[in-house]
Amino acid sequence: MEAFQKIHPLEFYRKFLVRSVRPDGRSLDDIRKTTISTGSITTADGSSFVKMGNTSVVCGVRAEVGEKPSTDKSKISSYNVHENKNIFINIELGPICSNTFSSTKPSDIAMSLCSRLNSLINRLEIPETDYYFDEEGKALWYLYVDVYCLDYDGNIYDAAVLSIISALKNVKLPKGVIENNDEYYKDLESPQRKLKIQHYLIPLSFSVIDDYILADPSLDEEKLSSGTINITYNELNEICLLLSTGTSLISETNLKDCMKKAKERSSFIIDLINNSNVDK
Amino acid sequence: MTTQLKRYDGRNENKLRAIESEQALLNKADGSAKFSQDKSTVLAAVYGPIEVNGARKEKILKSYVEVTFTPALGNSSYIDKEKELLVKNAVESMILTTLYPRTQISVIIQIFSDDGSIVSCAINAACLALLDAGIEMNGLLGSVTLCFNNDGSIYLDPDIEEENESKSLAIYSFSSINKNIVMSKTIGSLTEDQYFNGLKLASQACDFIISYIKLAVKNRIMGANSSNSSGVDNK
Amino acid sequence: MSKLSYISPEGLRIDGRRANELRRINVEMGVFNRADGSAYYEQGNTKIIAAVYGPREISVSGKGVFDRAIVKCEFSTSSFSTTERKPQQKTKGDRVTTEIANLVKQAFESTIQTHLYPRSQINIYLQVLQSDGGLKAAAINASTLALIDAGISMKDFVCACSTSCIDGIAVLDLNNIEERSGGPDCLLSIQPQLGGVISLNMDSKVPQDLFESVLELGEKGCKKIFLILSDYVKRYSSNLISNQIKN
Repeated sequence: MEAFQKIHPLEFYRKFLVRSVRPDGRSLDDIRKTTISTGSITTADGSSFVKMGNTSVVCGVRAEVGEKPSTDKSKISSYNVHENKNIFINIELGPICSNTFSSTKPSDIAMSLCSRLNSLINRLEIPETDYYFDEEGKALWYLYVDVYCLDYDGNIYDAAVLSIISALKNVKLPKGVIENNDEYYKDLESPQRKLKIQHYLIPLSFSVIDDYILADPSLDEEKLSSGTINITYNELNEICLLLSTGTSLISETNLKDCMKKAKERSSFIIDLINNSNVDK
Repeated sequence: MTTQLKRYDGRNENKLRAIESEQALLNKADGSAKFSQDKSTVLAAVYGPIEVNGARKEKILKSYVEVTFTPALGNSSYIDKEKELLVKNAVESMILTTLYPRTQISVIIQIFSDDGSIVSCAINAACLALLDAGIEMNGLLGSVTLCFNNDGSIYLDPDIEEENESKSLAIYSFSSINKNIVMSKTIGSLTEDQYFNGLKLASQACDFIISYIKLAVKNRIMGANSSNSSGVDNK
Repeated sequence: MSKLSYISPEGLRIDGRRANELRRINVEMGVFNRADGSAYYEQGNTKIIAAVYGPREISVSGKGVFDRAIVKCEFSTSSFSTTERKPQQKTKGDRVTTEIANLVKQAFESTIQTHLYPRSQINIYLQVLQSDGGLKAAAINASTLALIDAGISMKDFVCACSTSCIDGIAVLDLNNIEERSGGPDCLLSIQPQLGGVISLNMDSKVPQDLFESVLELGEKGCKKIFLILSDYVKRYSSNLISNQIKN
């Protein structure tokens, strides 16, 4: 049977899909076991570790102080007014997670994922006062979020989104003091504060194989798929990201089904994120 | 009848910008086309079917479709990689890749000027260039961008100012075969109703773009002027 | 002006340890699915992950050796692992990471029974999650576990430990603050059961009469680490076997 799987993977999969199951025992709608744990990396200002099935992702946030940007409009030509420019996300898919990635040249998947995550997270509504380093806001905090994939077994997008939102909710910033206009000090005595991120992001991705739509694809399923649908909701059931790509055409009814499944996952994910960030 | 707030350039909410296109501008490329939606101009060049330039990418039963997206200013960055992926997926759905096994079809997109809706413009240009190259496709491709504003209005084919002030953007791509979505991407948050309303509008707009493309190719083959322009509004 | 005293008059270091005490070690094997072997190694606040892929086909066909496997190592630190953020471009390919990668590679080239895997390559990937001193030693220890998890034949474990000489006292297992004190930093890696020394690297100067005691302390530290690691490996393997028997 293993030989059959290697020689003709698509046919092997079809035999399962016809009976509405997948080789790992899941139904077409089942999502793999998801766990989130935060705060394990003490050198980072916020961190999280997410495991979805076998896909493991670690995320760390560092906060650095910077000047308030000038409001010169001529320089920022392609920034949307709703985008916040204080969070920078970088994702690394290195050879440690899979033998298909090289260490020197970032793969296409990594680059497009980076772009997608940046545009997703930059639209989160965070009040500007949250970024203030000192009380008046003469300097701002800039958050650098680094996501590292440690084990690549499909659906890296979902895992990355969950890890970023958990890590951001885990961030603790110290109080800042500015003296003499250019000396920045972190006041380590007073208690640290958290960012006021009220929003949650609930991602769910699907793979399309023939006419079947599989939720939370594993790596084997991603390789055989002819299309991908990524949907991300926030806690108000608004679509934060919808991406439907691939060589197969998606009908409106299929899309509506996928949206329904993504919304069903909402409460589970919100609880998971909250539980992982309970003040220890 | 509500008084509609005019957009910056005086258009209605549902009006596409003036479209201009030109085909076969490049000599060396197998196919090329220049597509502009008012000030957004994209040049697409197609080389193919050609030999695959890395043995690993070669597919035995299909053609390998490669898209390169070069912005107007500066080097291509990771943001352009995402746009490349969008164009590639749209284009790959339409090309009959099984007719060209073990080959590569390269689509090179060069942005001349970006005044909003650039990914849509690129996809439209790519479709025209593929036709010019004579690559067999399942149907024609059309793509539009919609922006959703804070006050609930939906603008079709926004320019860069409207994109920067909008709450969210949605890029849709439809084909001429059926009503299914070829590619769709949203940026920013929007409700489901807004998305599906936008879908309807986009579908009609894409029909219009597809008929424009047909007209452009027909005029070229029939020997009329090699450049076409059309400023017809969408209903 | 008071100088930071690394060892208090009572003989306690900054983190409360004695001069010859190791930090607490926590290990886990088989943490990742995709890699052939993986391990998570924690020593105090230093956390590192090792993944082994191999033996597998050689990626660059010219470099293969007909009768042996080649060992390659890549070492990378996360941007958030140190107290100052270092963006990724600065951490790859710079001298420190290349040095550590080479160190691990050489340590295992001599220990892995490479003649059993001709014309293939074994890749070791290391990712540092948190860095608090003793990185090179942690890298070697983590790689040992990951190689065992991958089932690759080795002559022995390779255990490494860092030692130094502060204020005339030989000190074991430095943390970040002690490493930066400017004193000597000696890394000793040995094959604990066969008794051979794989590598001995030292920076700065150690007075000749103290060198023997620094070395001896290092050896004791490595042997302690070996006991911890081998104990874990035995428990892990017996769990694995009993699970297999159940199925």
